[in-house]
Amino acid sequence: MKFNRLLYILPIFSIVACQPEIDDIDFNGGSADFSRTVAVGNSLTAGFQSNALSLEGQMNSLPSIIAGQLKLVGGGEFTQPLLSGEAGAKGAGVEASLIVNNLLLPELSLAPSKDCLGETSLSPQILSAPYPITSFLELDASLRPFNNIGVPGAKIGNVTMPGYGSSQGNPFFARFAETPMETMLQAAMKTNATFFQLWIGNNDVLGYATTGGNEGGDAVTPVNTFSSAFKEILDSLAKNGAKGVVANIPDVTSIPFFTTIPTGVELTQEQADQLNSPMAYGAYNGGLDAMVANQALSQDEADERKIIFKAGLNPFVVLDPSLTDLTGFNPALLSMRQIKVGELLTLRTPSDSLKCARWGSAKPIPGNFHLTNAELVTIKNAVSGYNDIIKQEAQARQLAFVDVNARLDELATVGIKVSGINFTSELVRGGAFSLDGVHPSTRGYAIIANDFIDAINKTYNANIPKVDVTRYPALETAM
Amino acid sequence: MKFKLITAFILIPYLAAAGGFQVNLQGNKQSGMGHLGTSFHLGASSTYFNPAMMGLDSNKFNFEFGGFGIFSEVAFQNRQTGMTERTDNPVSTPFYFYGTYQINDKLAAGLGVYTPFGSSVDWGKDWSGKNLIQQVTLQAIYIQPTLSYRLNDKLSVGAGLTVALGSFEIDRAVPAPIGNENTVNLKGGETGFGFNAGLHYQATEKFSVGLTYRSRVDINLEDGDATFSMDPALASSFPSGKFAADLPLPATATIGFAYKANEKWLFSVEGSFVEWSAYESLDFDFENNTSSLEDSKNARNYEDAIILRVGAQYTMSEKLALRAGLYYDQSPVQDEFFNPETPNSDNLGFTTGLSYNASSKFGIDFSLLALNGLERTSEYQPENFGGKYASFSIIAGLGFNYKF
Repeated sequence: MKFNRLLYILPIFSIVACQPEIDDIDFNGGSADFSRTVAVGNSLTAGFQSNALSLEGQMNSLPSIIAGQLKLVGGGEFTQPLLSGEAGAKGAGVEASLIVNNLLLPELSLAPSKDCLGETSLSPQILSAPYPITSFLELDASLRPFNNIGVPGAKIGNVTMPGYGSSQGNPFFARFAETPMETMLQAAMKTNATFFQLWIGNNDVLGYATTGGNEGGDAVTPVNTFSSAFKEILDSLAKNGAKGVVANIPDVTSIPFFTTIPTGVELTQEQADQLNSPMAYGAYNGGLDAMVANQALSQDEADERKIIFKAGLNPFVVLDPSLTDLTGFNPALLSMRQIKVGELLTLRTPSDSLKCARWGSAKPIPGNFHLTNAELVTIKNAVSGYNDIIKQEAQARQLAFVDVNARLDELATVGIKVSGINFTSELVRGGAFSLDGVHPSTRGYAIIANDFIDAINKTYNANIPKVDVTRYPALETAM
Repeated sequence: MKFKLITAFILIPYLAAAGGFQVNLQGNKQSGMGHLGTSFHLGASSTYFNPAMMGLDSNKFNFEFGGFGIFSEVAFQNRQTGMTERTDNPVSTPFYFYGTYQINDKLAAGLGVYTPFGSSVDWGKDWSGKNLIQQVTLQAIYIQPTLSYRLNDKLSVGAGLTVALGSFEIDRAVPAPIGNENTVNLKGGETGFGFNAGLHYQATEKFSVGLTYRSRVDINLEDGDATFSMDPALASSFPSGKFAADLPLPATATIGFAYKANEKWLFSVEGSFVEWSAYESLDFDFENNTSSLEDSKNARNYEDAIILRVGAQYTMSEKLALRAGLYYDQSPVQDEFFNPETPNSDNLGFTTGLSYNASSKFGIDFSLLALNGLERTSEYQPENFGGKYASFSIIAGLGFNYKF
């Protein structure tokens, strides 16, 4: 309340056009210097969404959103290796079988599709054919050094790996690495940054998880390896006294890629009886008993493997290669069992096969779509191992620290309210994730950007304004 | 002329000029001196201010009518972005009409039409709080047939039935997961009933006391129209249709004291207690619920509030009276439940006014008010939206009185 305004209004014999005033906030960067910033990371830093990197995704990348706010407190230019032309518009998705033929996959779009039952619903899908890589390779090299060194697919070891930017390496890095042997870290150091953002480690466990764990052949990076690589990267980035912010790794099981596909099926008594009959799983269960009698199988494992359906909701049947292989005795005794509580199916599980080809009931679901509890423990141990190191290093080096893990857990359990919008981790409806169920949506990135700004403000005694999440676009349908 | 003016007033919505969405602008004479008028008689407008005083007129017929123009603006500084946004409120025009008739020495009858509740706030379609509110128009027109009775020279009582015609219209964005232009318009009107009762006691020639109680009126809307404008992909999940909603217009109890120092000077103070705690929640019960469209429950949790007023009148001559006053009007809104739909701060009001009696029958009343909505830091916790709010209004009023 400003009393001096009363001087104007007390002699109120003429109408004065008075406006309510609120003092402007003093925005400042505190003890940090944002004149040259660099962001190092993976797809989450690059701006990846809906299975692809597009120009719009890059424009709304996490470090780009943050850089826009840093500009209000003296932050410098933030250049990105922006896509252009067809790749920029359609989005560039890389798939092994296509990239060898120099083809890219467009991003996922939300559009109506008819399922095997003839029901139409909105679902994520690729609406146009693979396209040539030509436009993807175009780059405005005059913008070097780039401030965004986010490379989709990068694991922590790739950050310091010579050749990762070569034609034998990662196409996302190869298109903007200055030389084929330049490492991501070297590219980052060229910015001579006064402030850095480092968010790395997701792919060191995510690849294992999305390909179904042990069946996928994408190993989890050992925690020791992560630890030494993380320290090495931080040593370099902070070498010239640069300050920075680091973020931890979300629990992969909190993202819609692992929580969207149901793990069971509703059956009638009649359907259950049919599946339990000696013509179906009755024979399998009897075979297991015979194996126990022959001492080829423990009673415990036989109990774990027996498949019994009832009226109501039943856990799906899955193949689990970690079970004792009995097919040498009897080819019909597949390594299968019913899904246990807590186990998950990935978003890649073909839903038409679940709905119409009786996957999960009459036929077991292949193990590469399924995370067993043992595999989930492997994942959780890796994530918590990485996160311990990230937090320790942040504290030891007095860096700002963002607990993305806790934030996504909040999203998955209670949801996050922002200016009237209720975000959850539900695919499409939750609003926070893009259509691939792994990467955030534009609004999701904006929420995380605000968490980064919070952490920077807290650690460096700064007052950087946050973004208005509602101003970032929601999903649109391609109709 | 009269007819045209009144029509214009009815058609144009108006903004809250008091706590919550209460509008304390029921007479130009009274509003010139802090909107005081419970304990001393200023003409036919007593029908509203204190029905007990209707019989205190010396003329057989008394009429008053008039209106106000409210020029208001609310500023909001978003706590996340630090950016300041402002309303673009339309000029709002509350109005009043009163007529009284002295049946005999003791009994008088009267009719009042006035607008004690209303709000018109326009934040724009694309401001940072669009998911809470884009714009709202709310109004209640009260029609009040009234009787007063003089028990003796000192004591009189009066009471009237109030018929309230309430209506509102709300636009807000729908925070659906698909599409960026999703909005809903909620519109409806309903009639409610209540009463206005008063007591007036002329203790001495110089000293008088007034007491009034205006009851709560419930606007129970049964068939409002909810019109959704949604992305085609969501149209079937958000069907337009009917909705029900209840809006309480709270009770107000007032006590006032007047002191007529001499032929020229009159001083008065008043205190009001507004039972805003009646406004707990604004719920929209949609007729066509879907898995996406559940009933909308919006906590308001208002608290009872007080208004304190002080004012004076200086009668310069038979022709001219000058007035001034000020008041403090407490906001009923808690800091955790401050919704930009009713951006109401504690208000400090500074008022002035004058009456010019052209003849013994006809007079004109002017008033001018400045309302300062004190800056406050508040949020609407259920939707995680907040920041600093401040408001300012200039109100100019013109009224006419005619008696014979």
